[in-house]
Amino acid sequence: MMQIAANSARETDEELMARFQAGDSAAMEEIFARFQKPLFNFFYRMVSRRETAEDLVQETFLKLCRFGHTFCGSNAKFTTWLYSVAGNQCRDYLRHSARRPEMPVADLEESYSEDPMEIPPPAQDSPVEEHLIRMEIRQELKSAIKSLPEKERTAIVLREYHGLEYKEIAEVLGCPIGSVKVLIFRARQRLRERLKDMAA
Amino acid sequence: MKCKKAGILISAFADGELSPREQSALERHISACAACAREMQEITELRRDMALWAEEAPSEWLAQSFSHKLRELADEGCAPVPQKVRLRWGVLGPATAVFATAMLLIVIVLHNQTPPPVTREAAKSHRTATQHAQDRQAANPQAIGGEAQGTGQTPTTERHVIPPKIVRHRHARIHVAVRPARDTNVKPETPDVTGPSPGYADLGSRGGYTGPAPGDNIADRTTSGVAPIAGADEVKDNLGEAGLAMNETVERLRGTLQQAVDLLVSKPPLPANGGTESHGGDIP
Repeated sequence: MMQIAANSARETDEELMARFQAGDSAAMEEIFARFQKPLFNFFYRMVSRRETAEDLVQETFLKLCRFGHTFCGSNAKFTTWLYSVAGNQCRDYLRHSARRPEMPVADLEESYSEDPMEIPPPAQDSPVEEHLIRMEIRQELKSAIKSLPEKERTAIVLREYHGLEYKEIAEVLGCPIGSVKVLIFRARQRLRERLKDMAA
Repeated sequence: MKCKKAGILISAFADGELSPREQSALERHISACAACAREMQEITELRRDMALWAEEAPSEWLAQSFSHKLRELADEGCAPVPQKVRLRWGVLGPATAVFATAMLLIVIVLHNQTPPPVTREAAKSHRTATQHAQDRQAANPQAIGGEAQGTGQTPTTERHVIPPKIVRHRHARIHVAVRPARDTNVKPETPDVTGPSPGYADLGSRGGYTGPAPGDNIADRTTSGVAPIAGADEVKDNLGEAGLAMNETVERLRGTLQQAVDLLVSKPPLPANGGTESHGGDIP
């Protein structure tokens, strides 16, 4: 058991995908274990709803199962391909929800997500006042990111929270690197203005 | 370097995405531009604030649900999708489109070949003829009952419930007897007295047709033991003078036919009213 765990830890994402393409469904479970948390946070920052984010994570991995044979490890990095699938999934959801807005339910869920029970408890060495400030900043940031245009939001989230390089973001969004630079620059400008307004 | 371009470079510089040449150019600009230096400071603060939104963990439901779905997919054999399935669908796609187009064309052609809708005049004519037939039947309801008595079949009270189709057959047989009358120029004066069934009302109204029904045969009727036509008195009561004349003609014709049959089979002639009631009885 320990040996299997050590082998799977050494395996790269691309090797795991190659195993899955060969018909080993256990490889997909390993991929899921590695990427469920990053993907959940990506979707959560994009849609601001936990339940929706979990549904989107599941849908993305099911897509990976169905269309995993289209991935070519020699041409692309797995994370880039994974976030491309996730970005498409998110874009479909956002466009669909824009056509059929569910404002009352969305507001209700948002109010639930603001429940202090969801916020991670403060560290033992940090005072309560600092924890409250962090909560406030987090809430403002969440609202500000939600107000960004879809492409800017995707670019800034992938850069700030998932550490993707400009080149990888360009592959995910399907645009030139120069456009990614502008998208991130504009996103930061809007966020700064929005946070200033909130602070005022 | 302008401040607008410097802003983009500042953002990229914070992410470590600048080339050494761009970086040195930006540093020269920032050292000379206080606004861009302040922007650099603000972006650093923004990134620090954004880092406060730490990663969160999804619920346990997600892993359980996905594991369950993955097992389902494995049972269905859907993971991963074989490459050849995709290629086959690539061929089937255009074929399906061609088939759908062909079916659409067939439907359009068939639709154009359907008969035109019933015109208003035709519908009105049909309604008028039906109304006439119903009126005639209401004016003389005994006509059908008389025939029933004459043929020795079901009583009058029960005849009213016989479906129109059966009544139509009986009238057809009466018209067999009438046909020679037309040959001898004995035309019924009151054709309404025969009281044709609603099914024959259209024929009567259009051409006054009183001939036999298709497939009817006098010889068959005679040799198969079909009951004779009603007696003279009943016919007179029910059909009037014209009916009596027709009945006489029928009797004459029947006598002639009987003689012919007798000659052929060398059997004694049937009595005038001695026919059996069973249509499918043996030939005597």
